[in-house]
Amino acid sequence: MTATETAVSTPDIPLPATQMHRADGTPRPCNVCKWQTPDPTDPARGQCTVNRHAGGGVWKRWIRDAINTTCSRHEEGKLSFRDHV
Amino acid sequence: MTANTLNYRGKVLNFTPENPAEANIPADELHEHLQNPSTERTRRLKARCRWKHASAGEFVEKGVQAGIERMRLLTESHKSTVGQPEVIRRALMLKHLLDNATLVLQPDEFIVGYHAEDPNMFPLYPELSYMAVLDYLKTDYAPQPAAEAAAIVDYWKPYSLQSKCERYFDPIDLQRGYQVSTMEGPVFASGYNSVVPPYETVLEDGLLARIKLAESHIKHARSEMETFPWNATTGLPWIEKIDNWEAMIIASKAVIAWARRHARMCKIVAERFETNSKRRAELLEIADICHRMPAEPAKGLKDAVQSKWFTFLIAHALERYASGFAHKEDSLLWPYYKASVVAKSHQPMTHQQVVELMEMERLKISEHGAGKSRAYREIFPGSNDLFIVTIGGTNGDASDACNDMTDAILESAKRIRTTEPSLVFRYNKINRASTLRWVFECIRDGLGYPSIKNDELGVAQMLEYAKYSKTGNGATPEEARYWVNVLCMSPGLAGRRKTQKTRSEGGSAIFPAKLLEITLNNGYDWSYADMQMGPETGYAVDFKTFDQLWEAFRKQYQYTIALAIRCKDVSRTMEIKYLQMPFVSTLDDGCMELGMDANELSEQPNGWHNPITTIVAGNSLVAIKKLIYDEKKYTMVQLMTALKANWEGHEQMRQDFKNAPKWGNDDPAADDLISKYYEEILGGEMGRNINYSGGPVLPVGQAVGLYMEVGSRTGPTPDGRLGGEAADDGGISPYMGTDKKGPTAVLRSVSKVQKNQKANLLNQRLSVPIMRSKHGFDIWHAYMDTWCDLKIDHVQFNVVSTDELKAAQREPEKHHDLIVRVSGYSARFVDIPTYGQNTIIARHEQDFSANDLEFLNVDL
Repeated sequence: MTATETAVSTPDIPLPATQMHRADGTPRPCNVCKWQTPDPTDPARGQCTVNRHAGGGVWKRWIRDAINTTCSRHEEGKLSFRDHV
Repeated sequence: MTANTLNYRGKVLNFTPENPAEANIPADELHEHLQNPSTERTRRLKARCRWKHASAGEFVEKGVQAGIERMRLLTESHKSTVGQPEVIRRALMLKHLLDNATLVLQPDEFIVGYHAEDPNMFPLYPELSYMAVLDYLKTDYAPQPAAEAAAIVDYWKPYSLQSKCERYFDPIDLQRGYQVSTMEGPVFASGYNSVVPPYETVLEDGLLARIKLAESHIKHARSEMETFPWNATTGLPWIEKIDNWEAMIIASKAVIAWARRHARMCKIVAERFETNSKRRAELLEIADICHRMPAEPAKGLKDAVQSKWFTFLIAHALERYASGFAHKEDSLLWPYYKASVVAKSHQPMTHQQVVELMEMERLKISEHGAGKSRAYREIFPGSNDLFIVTIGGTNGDASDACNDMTDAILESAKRIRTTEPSLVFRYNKINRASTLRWVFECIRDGLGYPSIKNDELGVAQMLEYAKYSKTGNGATPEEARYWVNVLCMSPGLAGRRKTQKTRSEGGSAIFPAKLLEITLNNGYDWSYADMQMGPETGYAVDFKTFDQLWEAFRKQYQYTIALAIRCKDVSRTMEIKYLQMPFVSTLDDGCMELGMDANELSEQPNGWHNPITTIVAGNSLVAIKKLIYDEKKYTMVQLMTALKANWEGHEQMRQDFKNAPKWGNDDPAADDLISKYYEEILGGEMGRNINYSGGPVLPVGQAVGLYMEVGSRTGPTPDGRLGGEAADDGGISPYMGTDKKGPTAVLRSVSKVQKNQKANLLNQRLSVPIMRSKHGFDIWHAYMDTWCDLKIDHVQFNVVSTDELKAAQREPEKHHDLIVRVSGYSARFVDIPTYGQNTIIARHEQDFSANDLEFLNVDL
């Protein structure tokens, strides 16, 4: 199959708000945020771990461009491995 | 919590510790009291071991760093050999590396040899994945000088396996694969690999004999090319063969020279620097061994272990990176054990000295560093790499293969307590009881290994795959009994030929939980990547019947599994062209006879791929069918709305989905559909794919730490799971905490899946008081015989209390010897992220009720 990116999630059912958004040249990029962890394969991308629930679950979101993406919960720093997955 | 007594067949069984001294040890620190190194020397070696555990993509220990030496030497050689045949270049690269590599000799060690310039370091592989090395450059443990390392990656990028392969794929397909959410990243993007080196030829023949063989083949080839009349159809194939044999000679001579450099180093240290007379004598003994090994055949056990270690370093770390430590160690070393311990004809030693030697080997493996990509630093949290040794089972004549070497390996594991290497025991009902007792001792001490594989199923599988051999030279009935686990779970041949040489033959994973999630959303991943991840197969809200959902899932699975297998076979094609392994080829009798590279020659197909997160999808299908299509209690719109809200505001609905029948309770309401899902889709559809070797690719269900990683990349699922929660921790294990009908109900569920499977990992957690009581062995033994009779492929155990796990979470510095079985490997519990630790705690601790014991028919 030749892949396309035209489809969307199920129509008419609202998706939860996600914090991150693209911001070219942002001074608060995901790649220096404490909630970010690198993509498993491509170092240009990343994973956001800010979504955590009380039971200890960590619901990751893929960051397409870790340098030009940010969100309102940006915090510089680094978490211990114990706080990641 | 386990009751301390149980009424069974008219008796009161008392589950107090078999060892009365344990009664005085607090239950939440038991595992800190179990290590018992056989000598002070191994106690010291363990205390100073430079562990290289990774977790969440990072190294746990401070001071661990990537070395630059291998990258540098590889690059120098690559630049200076332009124009030569590729296989010769690969041999010259190995030679340049071994001729110039820094040698490492550490105090106290008897087995010598390391694969980087410093024992805190590990090598990198820019010839494999440029992305993996670029990732290292951004870390605190990047190779230094950083600018030189960056220039090396830049140089290698166009020559890397990754670049060679990427051009054959749609960029969107690559983007999907690289995320590791529906499939494991392709071999070419990670560099992750596995190999089964034919250690037998090194130990039995020695490399000098292999060189002579290659020389005689070249002589024969040249004479064939020079005969009259010239025939191009038979004459030209000799060119490639001559190149391969010449490469084998270059590589073998380089390895001998490298080993002899170790010999000279030990001699120099002994004669000029060592002041302790005992250590001086030992260094001279090591020098003598390294001068002869691996050049000559091994004569005694010390020879065999050192020769094996040098071979391991080349095949797994220097010629190319490969995970694993696959070999049938007890059978391989048994002739040398007999020479040294029984006959005392060479390197005489006692059984207890063998145990010490095996403890030292375990510590060498524990210190071995792997330059794995980030994906693989994430997915074995709390451990180093997958180092799996196989023991037990049966000999070629079907007799019991357990021997005193088997016992020494097990005893060393129990005494020294390290996470690596893991052991696999091939269980056969004819195995001697004394060895089974050692197996049990390791398990009940909470090591998590040996994991147990069904010996006869493995043998049958080798014979089945032999039918597809492209050369008509697959495993014979005798060879089929000499199998080992290639990595955690999949059997493959060991021995002098026909072993698996590359992970592009078998390995890597597919993730059904995520595939079900995108199936519900027309192939779109809303919960992690926010992009189309598979074909557009419709929205769940439009599926009028369960069959429509089933078929949409099938299509998503077909697309992803075909892409994953294609990635491996494209990798294989490029490995054959650019990543030849002349040293590994030297060791294989088939490669030697035919003048072929180890990547290319396939005599015994062994295609497999790992479905991981299987039960989350299976339980979800059961819940959807019951609550939406059969009982119509909810609509699909309601379900999708609840999932998009992560069940928030839909708590009753979530409870209904959570309470739907679950796998592992011997409940047909779940088991019938899930068995069909395993056999018809997971195995049936995968088996339609034929790989490079000409055989079908079959599922090896397991989890490693991917059940955590993929769980965190998967949104809420219809089994009642919240978004980001871990997935199921085995290949066929019940979801954590949902197996509530006892251990024998789990066995009955699991035994229902038999068709189209290669292997399936069963993770079980057993009661500590029961296992540590005087009845523990008899109950476990009966459990194992029942497991065997039910034709179940695999089982592995945790025997550790929740109290102790929680105590370790509170005070990790006090629990460095607490080992747990994650899935397919064991880990130091305190080196696992809290997220993963909680998944171990959540596993149901199985008691044995009177009904369970009756089912096992155990007489106590």
